[in-house]
Amino acid sequence: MQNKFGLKDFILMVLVSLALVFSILAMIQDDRRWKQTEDLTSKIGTIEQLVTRLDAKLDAGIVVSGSNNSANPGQPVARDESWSKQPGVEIQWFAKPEFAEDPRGEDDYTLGGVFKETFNAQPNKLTPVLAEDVYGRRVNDQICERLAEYNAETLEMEGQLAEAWQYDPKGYWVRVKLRDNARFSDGEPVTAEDVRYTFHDYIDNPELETESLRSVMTKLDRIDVVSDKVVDIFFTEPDAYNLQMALGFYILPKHFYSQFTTTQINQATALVMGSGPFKLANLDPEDQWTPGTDIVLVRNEQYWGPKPALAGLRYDVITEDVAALTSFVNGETHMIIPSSPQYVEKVSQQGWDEKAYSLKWLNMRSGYLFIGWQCGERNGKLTPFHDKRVRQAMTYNLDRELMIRDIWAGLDNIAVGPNNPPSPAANPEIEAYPYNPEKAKQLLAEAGWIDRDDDGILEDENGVEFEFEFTRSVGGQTIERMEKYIIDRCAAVGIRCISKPVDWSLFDQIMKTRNFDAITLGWSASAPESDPRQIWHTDSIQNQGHNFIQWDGGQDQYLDAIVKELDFNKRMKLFHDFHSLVHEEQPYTFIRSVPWKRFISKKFSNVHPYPKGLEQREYYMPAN
Amino acid sequence: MATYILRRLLLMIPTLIGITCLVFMIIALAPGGIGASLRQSGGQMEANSAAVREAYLEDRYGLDDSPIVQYFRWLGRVSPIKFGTRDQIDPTGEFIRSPKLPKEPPLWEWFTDELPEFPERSEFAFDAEHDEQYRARIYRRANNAYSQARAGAIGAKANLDQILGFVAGENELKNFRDKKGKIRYTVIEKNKELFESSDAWDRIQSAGELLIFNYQAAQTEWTNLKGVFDAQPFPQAGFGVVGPISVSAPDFGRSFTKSRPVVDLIKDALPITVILNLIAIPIIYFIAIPCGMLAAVKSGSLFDRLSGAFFIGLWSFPIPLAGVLAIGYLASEEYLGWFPVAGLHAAGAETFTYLPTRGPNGWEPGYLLDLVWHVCLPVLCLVYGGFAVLSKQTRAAMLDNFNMDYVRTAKAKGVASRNIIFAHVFRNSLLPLITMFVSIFPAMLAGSVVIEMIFTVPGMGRLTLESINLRDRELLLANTMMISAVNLLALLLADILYAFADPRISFK
Repeated sequence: MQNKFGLKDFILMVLVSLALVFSILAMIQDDRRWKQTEDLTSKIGTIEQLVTRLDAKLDAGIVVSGSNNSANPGQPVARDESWSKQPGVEIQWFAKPEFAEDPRGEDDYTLGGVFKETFNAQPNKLTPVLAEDVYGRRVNDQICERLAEYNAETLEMEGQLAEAWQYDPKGYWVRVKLRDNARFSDGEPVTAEDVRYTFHDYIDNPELETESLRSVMTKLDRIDVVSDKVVDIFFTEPDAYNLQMALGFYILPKHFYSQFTTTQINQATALVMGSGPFKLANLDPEDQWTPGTDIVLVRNEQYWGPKPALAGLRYDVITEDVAALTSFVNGETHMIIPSSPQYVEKVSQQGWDEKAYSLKWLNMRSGYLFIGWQCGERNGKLTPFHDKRVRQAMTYNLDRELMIRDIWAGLDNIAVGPNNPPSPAANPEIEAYPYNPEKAKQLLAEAGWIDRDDDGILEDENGVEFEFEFTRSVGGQTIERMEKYIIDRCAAVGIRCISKPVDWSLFDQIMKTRNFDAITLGWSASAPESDPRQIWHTDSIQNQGHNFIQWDGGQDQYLDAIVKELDFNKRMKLFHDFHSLVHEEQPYTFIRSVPWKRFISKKFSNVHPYPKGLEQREYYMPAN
Repeated sequence: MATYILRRLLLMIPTLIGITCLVFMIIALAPGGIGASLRQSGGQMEANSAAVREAYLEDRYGLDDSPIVQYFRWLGRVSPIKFGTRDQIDPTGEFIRSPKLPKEPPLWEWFTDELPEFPERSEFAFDAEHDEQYRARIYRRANNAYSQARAGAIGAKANLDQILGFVAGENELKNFRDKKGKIRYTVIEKNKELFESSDAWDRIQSAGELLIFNYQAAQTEWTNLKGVFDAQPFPQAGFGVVGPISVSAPDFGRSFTKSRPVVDLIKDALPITVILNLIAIPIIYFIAIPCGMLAAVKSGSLFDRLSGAFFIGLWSFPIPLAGVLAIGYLASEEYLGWFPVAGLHAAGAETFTYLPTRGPNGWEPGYLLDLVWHVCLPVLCLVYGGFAVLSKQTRAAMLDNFNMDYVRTAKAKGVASRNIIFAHVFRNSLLPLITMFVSIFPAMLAGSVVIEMIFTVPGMGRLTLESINLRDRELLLANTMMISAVNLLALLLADILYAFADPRISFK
């Protein structure tokens, strides 16, 4: 074997180096073209902004010359009510939507800047309605709009795309008038046909994977187009929650979605277009966003409502707590959801306040954590908890303040009932049961649970020992600590509590078959008040519904009345009565309300926690 | 050799079926079963709507069949050799199957004397002048009508179930639900008097009649759709062989938790894992093998002992802890802050050029450099534990060979020691290294679960873990299939490479 460098080797080497040189040249060439494209895109962006501003000016000009009423706001505005369905029925009008806290008057207000939010789990898709996770919905909320929105501060329903509506006093229909100037992000106006299309051909299309929304919209009978800007929505039966259901889905542009087949929509990851303040930076159906990459939104320059200051929003995903916090501290992201210990640690750290807003507040979406007691039969046998005195005793026996302090770093409040206090549905007169083990023992004794053989465990008159299974999900130190505390407290009054950790995927089955003594879970909310029947009504006992604790304490009279009562104040009164009943009966021991926690970078101003949640569209990046 | 390879390849088929079957059955028999995550409907809907939603999903994904049926159905779709009516491929590339029959309504004897018959099929054919779009439109119309009708039947059945469940519950009927909470119609059937005597009998009757009516509508639409399907609106998939047997590309289906084609999901995740490993594996080899060789040559020296101890030390250090420490110290700006925390690209990387460029704000790293910078920490964690095994293997194999007669002979002949080490000993020590490579290669595709979770890398490891957690049938089976196929191929490759590395081995 000779180590000579031959002709063959030479040619090979030349070829390899040529390939290398060419690939580098290709990259340089590509970069040059890339730069040109970038320049072009930015120029188009500027032109688009210019055109929109011009457009807005034109719009404003017409308004000024057309109406003299705007000069003296004291006078009522004469409105065209010719579209009304039934004369005499009140029409609710809504002013043009505005910011809850308008930043535009601030001295350091500037346009521009990108706000980056970090999710702690990966959204699978962003296509509206098909995206079922909370993250997909959060992105959709910036891009798509509904007919009505909750006011950020008062939580009252206000027209968004709807300028006005007329609601049948009997509750069978609502006629909605759309805003004249509402436009989708491509400039097309929002029409009645879009509303009809969204419900009938999108949500109510069995070919699309929209089951989860479709199955809650069963009371919506049909939507009829009356004129270009007016629709009729009919209900199969009156219900207090019909209006929020009928006005609460995203309105999607028919001209955009109807160009795809149902399969394409089902398989799409990010076919999102709407009329909201932001739009997807890349709305190319051939090259959609895919999970694992950042979600990039840019300001909708053609937005018809109050335009946000931010040039864009960006979302990424960091699943690991430490990594998310580090990324926030490094300034790589502007908003994270800290864990309870992280929150407590950082808030007390020096200099943290200059870096970040540390927000912790209860809002319409925050829920509560509870222990549900089996009030009915388990496998054909009554559990000790069928007696309300026992359930009350269980609540008296837990020092919830101590639990919150030691397990959840003192971050939350004791939950008092099925609605958290900021909600008008919570009864303000109710106070949480205090910690009182003596009272607990006394109640247990009244219920017949006495230590009859001096072994430290309570027995009933038949000598059966008080023993129960505590079902909880696996995983997480927090829940283990909570369980240890409960076992400990039970032992202190002579009850044997047996731990039963189960996998999440099994919970559904356990709840359906009612195969537990006590179970710990959390409920969260999505609206200021929601239909309470699904969790509490006795109808939900028989049919594997969510009254899995099989509680039947006379609640139906309130619940049936609540959903029939269309008047808000009367309904709240019923809610309060219902709340008192729950408090007395203690089918759940409410542990804590779960507030939202957020760290938001101080690089941004006008950050406010609202009862509705957060309003990124109001943020701006102050000059310097 | 060729026959040997062919034999091995054929043997792979039953092995693959065995592996996927085992994995599927373990998941199916685990509490909750397949699609457990889908059934978690949360607290946002009424009991009745939850039942309808569940019924929809079960119908869509065939979750109400037994695990064995589900498995065989999957196998049928994945197998390149297919039996029965051939699938068609629509213009968007989706496999269109012959429509599924509507489910026979339960307890129909209660409501009607005989079950309605399927209507006569009217012959339907496309003309040659009908273009692709027209055909697609006709098919879609028929398909929509059928799904609407079937959805109606599903809703009606859920409604009937609800009333039956209510009555049975009120009357404390035992065992009328199975372990998963489904209604047992046999038990209901046996206790017919109980239902007949209840107040709700009228409601049961009308719900049942509605169900029969909806079933009949579904039958009509099914017949229409079947007619359209048989007229072949789309080109058929693959090609026919004999009679009902045909050959076509495997269809891995759609992940039902992510509702995207499984192939797309893997296409997204695989390159990321491969990139990470293409960087990591050469680093492991280039450090571990020379160190192992040096340790063998200077066996017993300080270097040998130190490098051994060091590598073993690294190997014993748990990866999750290392990952968190790396983020906490190397990535946090409160400490060193040299590396980014998570992800594969900086924000705005999509506007970067490939190569580093000089922009208005000085040098910008460019797409390639940015990627390298982002994968530093994950690669570091992927690499550090790999040195020990490989260097120890090399060292042991080299030492074995050093004591061989041929080495002594070579030394006696006066061959330069460099030549002895590289040309003689190292070449003969290659065998175990080949085995090692072959075991690393499949791991490359499976991805390193822990590292991908900590650094939020959307690779194969995460995908597989999620599919297990969510009990996603299609995704899980496709991943299992791919990983095991690669494993089997790698083993075969190892055997072939043996033959090349060691002339004494032959497969005759």
